[in-house]
Amino acid sequence: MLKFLWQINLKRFGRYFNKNHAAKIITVVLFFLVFCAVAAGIYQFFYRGFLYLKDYPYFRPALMLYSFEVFFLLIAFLVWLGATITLLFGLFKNQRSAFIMASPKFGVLPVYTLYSSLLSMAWILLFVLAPALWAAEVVFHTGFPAFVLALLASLLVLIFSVLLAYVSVLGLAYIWRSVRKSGPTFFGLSICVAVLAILVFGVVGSRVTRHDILVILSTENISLTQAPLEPVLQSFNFLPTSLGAQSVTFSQLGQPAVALNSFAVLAFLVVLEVLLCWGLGKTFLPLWQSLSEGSNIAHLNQPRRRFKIPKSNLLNGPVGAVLYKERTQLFRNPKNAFWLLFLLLLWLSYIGFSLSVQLHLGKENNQLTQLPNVLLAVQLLVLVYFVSALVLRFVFPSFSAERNTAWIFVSSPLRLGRLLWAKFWFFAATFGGFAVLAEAVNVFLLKLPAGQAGLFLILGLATVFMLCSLGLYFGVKFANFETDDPQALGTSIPGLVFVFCSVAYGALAAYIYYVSLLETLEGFSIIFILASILISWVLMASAASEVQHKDFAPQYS
Amino acid sequence: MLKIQNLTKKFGNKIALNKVNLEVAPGEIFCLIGPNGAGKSTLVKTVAGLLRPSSGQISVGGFDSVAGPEKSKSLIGYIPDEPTVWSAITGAEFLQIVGALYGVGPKERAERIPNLLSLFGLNGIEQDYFEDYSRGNKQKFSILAALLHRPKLLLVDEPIVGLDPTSAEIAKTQFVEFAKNGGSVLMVTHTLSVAQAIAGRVGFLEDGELKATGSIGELRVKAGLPENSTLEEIYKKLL
Repeated sequence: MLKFLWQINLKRFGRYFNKNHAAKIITVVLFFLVFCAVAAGIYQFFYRGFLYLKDYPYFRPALMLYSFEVFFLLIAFLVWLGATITLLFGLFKNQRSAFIMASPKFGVLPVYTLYSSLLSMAWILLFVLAPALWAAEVVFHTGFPAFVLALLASLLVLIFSVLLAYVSVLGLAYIWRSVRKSGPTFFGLSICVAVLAILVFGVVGSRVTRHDILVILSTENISLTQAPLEPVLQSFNFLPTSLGAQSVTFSQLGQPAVALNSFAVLAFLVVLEVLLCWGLGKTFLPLWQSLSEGSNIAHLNQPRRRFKIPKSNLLNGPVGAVLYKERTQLFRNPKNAFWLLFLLLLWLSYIGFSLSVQLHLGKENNQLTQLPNVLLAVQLLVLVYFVSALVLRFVFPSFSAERNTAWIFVSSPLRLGRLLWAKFWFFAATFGGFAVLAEAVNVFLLKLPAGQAGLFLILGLATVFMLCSLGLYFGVKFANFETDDPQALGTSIPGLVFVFCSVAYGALAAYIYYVSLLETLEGFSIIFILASILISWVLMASAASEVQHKDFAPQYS
Repeated sequence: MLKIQNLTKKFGNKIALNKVNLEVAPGEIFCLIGPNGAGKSTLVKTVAGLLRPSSGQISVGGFDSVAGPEKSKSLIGYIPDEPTVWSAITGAEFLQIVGALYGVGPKERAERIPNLLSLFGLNGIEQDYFEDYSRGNKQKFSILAALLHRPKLLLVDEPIVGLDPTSAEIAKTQFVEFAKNGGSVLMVTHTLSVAQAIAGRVGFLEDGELKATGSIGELRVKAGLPENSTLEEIYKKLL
């Protein structure tokens, strides 16, 4: 059965190229190039960092260990969170899984879903971890065996993170079922997973950022010839990822025995996890039955609970109806809510980084007079990229994803142009609110003067308007009714073009803002704001005109 | 109420509808039947405004569906063959949203929705989420949504698929009542017994062309069949 499922998926991959194969080959090549660019960027980042370390033997072991600890922790957390969301929906909300669960080979589903999650994380090993390790090998010439050991340790960290996601999802469901007689609900399990993610983020984050890096590296102790490793280890050794970081670092430092020791402990933990996964897999059927059931009963006295949204005055007209629907779907759909949480945690990590830079580096070096300007430009860049990620996930697919529900709006008297504008205002207001909040935190942290703060806020809002209109424009112009999966829609050629455009636009916005701060020429930024708003309007007007002539939902043919 | 003239719909090179002419009068139930892929659903979806005609004209209540789609659509209630609705919306919210889309005020909605829910005995589950409903209940909500704004023309695509016998009977009664009150119904169905029971006229569509239209009696004569022959027999003879 497992082999059969793999064959189906391989064939499906082959079928992907059947229609519009030239466009799809270009998409795959472009994606490969994007991944290669990411790999090159990571390689350069680590290569330059390690070159610096090579010239400062005092810092080398401790800072190297610290870098790998932070790097592995970040990667492992993101992999764990991503895999948890994927597994939660893949295990219990996959509409295509019913035929497997109805068969005598139902035990294959959790195994197959787990393998799929593991495979989907392979790109991180190839394009994120391997370049970092190769940079260390190129700088320190530690030899091929050390590189292989480091690579294997990285692989184990990835496997550990994905298995932990599986254990988290099934474990929570199993505990729920054991504690309460009634089976777990999907909503309840989603909340438990979200709470767990926030707790892990909070506890681990507060623990590892408790100490100043300069204190950890003992820079004030002039009697030392080399920064000690113990303070770094003490900050991280409560985490399993520390074993991976130690294995990698010690293999690069020419201490294979210590590296192998850490590797062996990590491997042992992975084996324990595999056993746990195997045990939990045995309980999958009753959990799946509870978690995938709906209320397919004609009369139910107690409605199921979900995200409750207060009663709204929006439903006073057609446009209000669109706004109400968009708001409800964005915040009440569990998958959307998880994605928002995922991006929020990423953003919080970045705010933590900003705060750390402001508190530590600013305090240590008063000569860094350009730091606020650079930081502000980087803040804007990061904000644009966060909003781009939100737009790519929610705005760009919002038109195509309506394919099966199109009949509701399209058969109504609401003009499709107005529908599109309503979508625009909803997303622009929601993400604009997020942008203003994010910027306000930065403005507060960096203690900006009022004029500069105002310009920063308006610039952020203008970029949100621009990105939302760009996302909707591409979404309408290249509507794709083959799928309603936002991730599949976002990884099409138009999605990629949107990514390239938003990356270029973000870079331009940050550059113009930086130059206007450096040269005190606010006019540059104001012209950019006005141009962004004007282009937004032109894009939306063009999309609204286009949508009127669209043969909506051609899959009905 | 509904007038279709020379309607052609193409998907690339494929002709889904070929110069279809059809009229449905006020108070009439017109059933469209034909084999799978004949173009029945395409016809209904083109009238509903989901698809754009390649050529020809559609007029609803005197309003052209291409030149003035807002006015023609406000007269239509559409019941799709697949009643897919946003998953995280409750049945009650869905009815509220559809009511708002058609300009039904909050007060009128507050009066009409409970009455409509009681038609199919849906009171009590209207606060559940759409993804939790059975197919039949989804279908019932889509029927109620189509009736909410009191349309003049009902476009119905496979109305009783997934409905239990009692609910199917209620749906049929609603369509008949709707027509008795002056409304027009254009219905696509494979359930020939339903068509035979409620249709004033029937149209046979095949390969995008309307092969025959008329009352069951007229079609029976056209097919050269005796008076007691069923619609199924007529269908087999004519197509």
